[in-house]
Amino acid sequence: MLSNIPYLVVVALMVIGLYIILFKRNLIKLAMGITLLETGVNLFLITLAYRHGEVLHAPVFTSMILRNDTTFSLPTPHALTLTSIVIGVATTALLLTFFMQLYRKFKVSTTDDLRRLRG
Amino acid sequence: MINNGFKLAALLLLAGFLTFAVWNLREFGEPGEKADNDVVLYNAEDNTTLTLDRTAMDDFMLDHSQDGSSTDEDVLENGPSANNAVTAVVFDYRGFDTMGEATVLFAAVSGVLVSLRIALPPKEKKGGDA
Amino acid sequence: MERMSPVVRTVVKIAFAPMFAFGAYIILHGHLTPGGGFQGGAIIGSLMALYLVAFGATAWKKKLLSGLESGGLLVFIGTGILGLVSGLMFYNFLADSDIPIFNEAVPTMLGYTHSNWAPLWTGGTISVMNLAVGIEVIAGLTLIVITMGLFAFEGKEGG
Repeated sequence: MLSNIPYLVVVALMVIGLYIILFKRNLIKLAMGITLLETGVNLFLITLAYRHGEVLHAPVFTSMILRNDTTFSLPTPHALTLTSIVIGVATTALLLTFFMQLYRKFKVSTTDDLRRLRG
Repeated sequence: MINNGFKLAALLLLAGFLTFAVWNLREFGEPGEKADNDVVLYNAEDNTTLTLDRTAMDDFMLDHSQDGSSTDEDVLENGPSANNAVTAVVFDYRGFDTMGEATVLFAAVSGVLVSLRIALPPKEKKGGDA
Repeated sequence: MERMSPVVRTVVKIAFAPMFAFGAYIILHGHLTPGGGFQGGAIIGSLMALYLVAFGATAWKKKLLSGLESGGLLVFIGTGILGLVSGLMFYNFLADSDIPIFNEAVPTMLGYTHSNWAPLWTGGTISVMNLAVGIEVIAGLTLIVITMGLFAFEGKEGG
């Protein structure tokens, strides 16, 4: 049970992101909360790629001399994290574009003003 | 209206669920070992068996990411032939994910360009309606 | 909107070339060291954001950047479909073949199975796809930054 503490750090990041999304009303703070939640998910994917060993290398073959007890970390979660980061960038760019257009056209900067626009 | 009590209850429920899920995950740093049972295929026409050696997926990708072309018939002809195992996984073994990701980036850039168009000044044809 | 001071403008002009070379190094050596198309493209995209902050937003060659972005994505998908000729999609048909683009084999050291150096000309279709994705990410991030900058500064001058 004590060995799963790195996963608890990931849960802490995600809970802080969820708290910001639920309790804050400013639109820019909402975007920051969504980015924090996505960062927590990326950290979780990287935490899954660890492997115990005496000498741990990144999964890149350079001109080092391997010994008998070298282990490499798993390369597949690193690939999934790369995809997730790029998709997070795309989502954040579109989200901020919509917030900029909302402010320019309707003078809306909190979610309460956004509710007033309905109907 | 949703007041603060509901929000706090939802947040605590989600935090508890995430902690429970993470507690019972596999141990940190011990991924699955190599599989120790082989898959045996039986060919009924020739009465021969073929034994496939099943190892863990990431060990296979680490072992074979430097292959060029091979002369063995059982192995695929051309490997990734890259020294970087992560690049071999991203562009060769999982190329469809990268294709989808590049398309998502393209779609996001197109969406930003469409949303932020600068309006042209009004044309002169309204001047004739005076 | 007043301009930035001459110190900022001169430093950005001096530091543009080394930073661009660093990003291009990371894109080009994607199959030998950690890095690749997406990482190098993000570095050069942030360099373009620095250029925008120092010099102001101008509508700089939007059609060329848009064409580069579409071209990058098409080269990536086309290289994947070209692999269908000899079997599967995304098949590495350039490794150890007669086509003289990125076709060297990774040399193995005697006695070791996994540790060696490799020259730049290995990689096969992985290096081609690295370059295509790098160009696409550079053009995409530059377009986003220029469009947002033009939108933000347009209201201030118009009033």
